[in-house]
Amino acid sequence: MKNNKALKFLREYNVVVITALVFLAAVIIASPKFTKLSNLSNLAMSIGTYGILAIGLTFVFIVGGIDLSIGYQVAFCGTMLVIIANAIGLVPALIIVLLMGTAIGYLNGTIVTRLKIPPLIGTLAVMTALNGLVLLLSNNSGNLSIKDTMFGVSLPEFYRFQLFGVLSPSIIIALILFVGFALFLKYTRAGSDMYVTGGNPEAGAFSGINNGRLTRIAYSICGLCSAICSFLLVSSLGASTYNMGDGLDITAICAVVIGGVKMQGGKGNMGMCLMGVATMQIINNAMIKMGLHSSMQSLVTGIVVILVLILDKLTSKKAVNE
Amino acid sequence: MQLKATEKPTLKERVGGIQNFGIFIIMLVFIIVVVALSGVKFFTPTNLLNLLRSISVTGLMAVAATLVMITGNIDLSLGWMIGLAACITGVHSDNTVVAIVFAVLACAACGAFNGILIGGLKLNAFITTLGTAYVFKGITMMYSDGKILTASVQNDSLKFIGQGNILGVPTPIWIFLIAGFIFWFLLKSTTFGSRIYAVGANAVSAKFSGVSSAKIVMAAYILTGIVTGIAGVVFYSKVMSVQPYSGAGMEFDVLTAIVLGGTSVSGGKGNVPGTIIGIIFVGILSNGFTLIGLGSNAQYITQGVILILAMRTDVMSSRGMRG
Repeated sequence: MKNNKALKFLREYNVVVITALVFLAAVIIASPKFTKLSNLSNLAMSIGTYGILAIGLTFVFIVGGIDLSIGYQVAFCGTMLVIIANAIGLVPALIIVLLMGTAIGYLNGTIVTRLKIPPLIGTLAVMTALNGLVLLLSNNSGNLSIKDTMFGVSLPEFYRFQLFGVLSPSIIIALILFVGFALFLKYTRAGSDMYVTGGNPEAGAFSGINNGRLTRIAYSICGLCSAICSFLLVSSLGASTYNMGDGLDITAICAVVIGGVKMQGGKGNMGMCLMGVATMQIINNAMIKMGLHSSMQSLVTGIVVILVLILDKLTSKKAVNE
Repeated sequence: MQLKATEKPTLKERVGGIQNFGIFIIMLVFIIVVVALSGVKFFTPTNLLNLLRSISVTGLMAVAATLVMITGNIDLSLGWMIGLAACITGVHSDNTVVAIVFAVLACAACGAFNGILIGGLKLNAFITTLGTAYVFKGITMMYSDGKILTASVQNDSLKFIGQGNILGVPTPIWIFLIAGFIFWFLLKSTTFGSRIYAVGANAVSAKFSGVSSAKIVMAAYILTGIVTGIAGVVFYSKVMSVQPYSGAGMEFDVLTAIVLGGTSVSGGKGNVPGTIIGIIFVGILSNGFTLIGLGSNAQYITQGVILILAMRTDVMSSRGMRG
């Protein structure tokens, strides 16, 4: 029986093995440069920044949705953050942008649940519209740099700041969100109901779960996470660029999928999300340290995504019946 | 073949072409606004030909990808696939035949790769094609070394594909229309076409009636690949130069056009005339905004809003789609 349990664990959490193997491979292949403390803390910082985006997306996946617009949500929130911060100061701007991100997420949720438009198309429309807005706001002119400071420190300094030599703001924020949302999913009624909404909406509706409301909450959380991520990205660059969100959506979707979160809904948690993001960032980081060309990086990333999908198909029992 | 008859879409769906009336009404209103604001410039033959020429590349991909969508799948790797085809054309720009053959073969192979993973291994089409898009991106960037590829030798036959005229109509439009006709015929009047609808509408019952959904899905992806290869040649020869990453994002234009044309994302429903109307509408939006003097920013915003409006009217009229 013990064997069975181990197998079951592997089936559920094969991502842990993947992450460990990828990390091991990175240590062996790209060793002296990869294992430097400064690089590892850089790695942790990028896992934090991109992890926040993936956390939001995990919620959308759990309720059985998809959000194509997160990349442009980040670009839009980042651009708005810089514009508002330069007008009325950073702290109020941050509050406004966090609300704005949540509102965009809520809009996505409303389009999907109230207008009954498939999430793929609804969020594609929001993505297209946000793309236009970002271009309009930035006047098609590359960068908008931020002038205001956060309690006297400039934003890039703030981003690079390290508590105890390791904990930078992006890691701290990601950890808080990670623990908070993990507890939310496990111990609150709304959290566990989200799995029902994603896994079996009909059953949910019969047992009195408000699927629409939970879906809107999930999309709103995703929007909030995009806004937080945009703040961190603006901090790291000291500016916003109109294309700062390009590719982020696809990276986040791939990370969440590598983690084993199911697009069909009803399955996934914060641990899977974190592992997926970590796997992708380790691969990227190790390949940069090995001096590989970026074309090689995309190739490997793509192959990893496909392999994970195949592995997932082979290890899941249900697949045989499908 | 009892099932074949019942699985076939209704006459209205197949022949009507415009099953999504919402989009048609919005389109008319928009044209009226454009004409009102810009005078009759919109209806000059030059402008209309320009409009059609500008959508021909995306249109080519869209008519083929309609097949994939009807089988209930999706292809998000098209942007990098056309990038690869255009780069191959760029490298072999001295020899038209070699360029076309290599570009089409490479994209057919890409399509087969997608088809095997999605049709054969039954992987989720959305995520799989995101993954293969990364793979194709890597291959394209390696192949082109990330550089802009400009034709080094004068090659008139290749130039003719993108910039020539036949009977006063630009060649890309001819290619687009011919492809549109072929795929319309394929879907409407062949067994293969009705099997595509059958697989999309209900893969299980299609299987019981002897239709191999794996083969049909694979064929749809390979055909899409082949047409994307041709589109890549046209794309390159329009300006005889290409940036390797210039195809990125095109898959979303293709998706928008197909969906505006009334093809359902859950499969089993849709047709080529609808897709052509969808892509023409995107062209009218872009062309109209240029005529009025507003940039692409306003176009994107409007396009997003219209996509929602059109889908909303579609949902209200069909009620068949799951949110």
